[in-house]
Amino acid sequence: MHPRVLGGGAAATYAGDFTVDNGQVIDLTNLSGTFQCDDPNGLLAVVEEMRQTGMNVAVGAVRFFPTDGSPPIVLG
Amino acid sequence: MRIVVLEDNAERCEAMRDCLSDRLYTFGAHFFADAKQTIAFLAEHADDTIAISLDHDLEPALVPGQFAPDPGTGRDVVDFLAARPPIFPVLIHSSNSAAAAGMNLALTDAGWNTHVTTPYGDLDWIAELWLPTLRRAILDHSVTHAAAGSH
Repeated sequence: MHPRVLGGGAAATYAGDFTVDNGQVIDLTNLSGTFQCDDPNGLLAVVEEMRQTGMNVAVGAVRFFPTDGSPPIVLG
Repeated sequence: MRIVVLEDNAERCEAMRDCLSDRLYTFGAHFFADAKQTIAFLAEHADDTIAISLDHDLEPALVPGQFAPDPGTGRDVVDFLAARPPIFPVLIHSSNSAAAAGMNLALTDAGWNTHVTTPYGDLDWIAELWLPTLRRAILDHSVTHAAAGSH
C-alpha cells in the first residue's frame, strides 16, 4: 500500500527505512526512492519521535545517506 | 560513489536496477556483463566504489554473424581484487555454489569483506535477499561519523 494511502492522503513528513532486531532498531536511514528526503535534521526528528513512543533505537543506528552519493553518515 | 554489478542476465539486471533506484538511489549503478570491462572500470574507479556484486558464470553476448568474445567469469574480477588491499564489501551472487565458495575464499583470504547470496525463486531473491544484503554491507562498511567528520 502506498504511503500516501496509509497517511490518509496527507503529505509525508519524512520517509526512509529501518531494521528491527530483537526489539531494537539497529539501523534507520533516509533511503526512500519515492520521497528522497535530503534533510538530516528531519531524520533526527523521526528518531526523536520514535524514542518518545518508546521504541529502542540503538546508539549509532541513525545513518543519513547524502544525495551526492557520498558514504552514509552516522547521525546518532 | 558507485555500486558495481557484474551480471549477464538481462532480467536480473533489470530487477537489480529497480531495487537500486528504489533503495540505494544516492549511488551510481554501473552494470557489466564482461569481467575484463569490470576490471578495467575498477582499475580506474575502485576508490570511488562503495560496493560490488559479482556473478560467476557469464554467457557470451551472441550477435548473429559476429564473433562473441569470451566474457570471462566473476573469478577473474575476484583475482584482480584479491591482489589489492580491501576497500569495499563484495557480494557474490552466483548459482554456481562451488565457484562462489572459491571466490569467497580467495577474497576472505586477502582480507576482503564478503557476502554470499545464493539465488532462488527466479528473481525473488533480488528484492528479498540481495538488496537487503547489499544495504547492510554498505551500512556496516562505509560510514562517516558526523562528529568526527572522517572515515
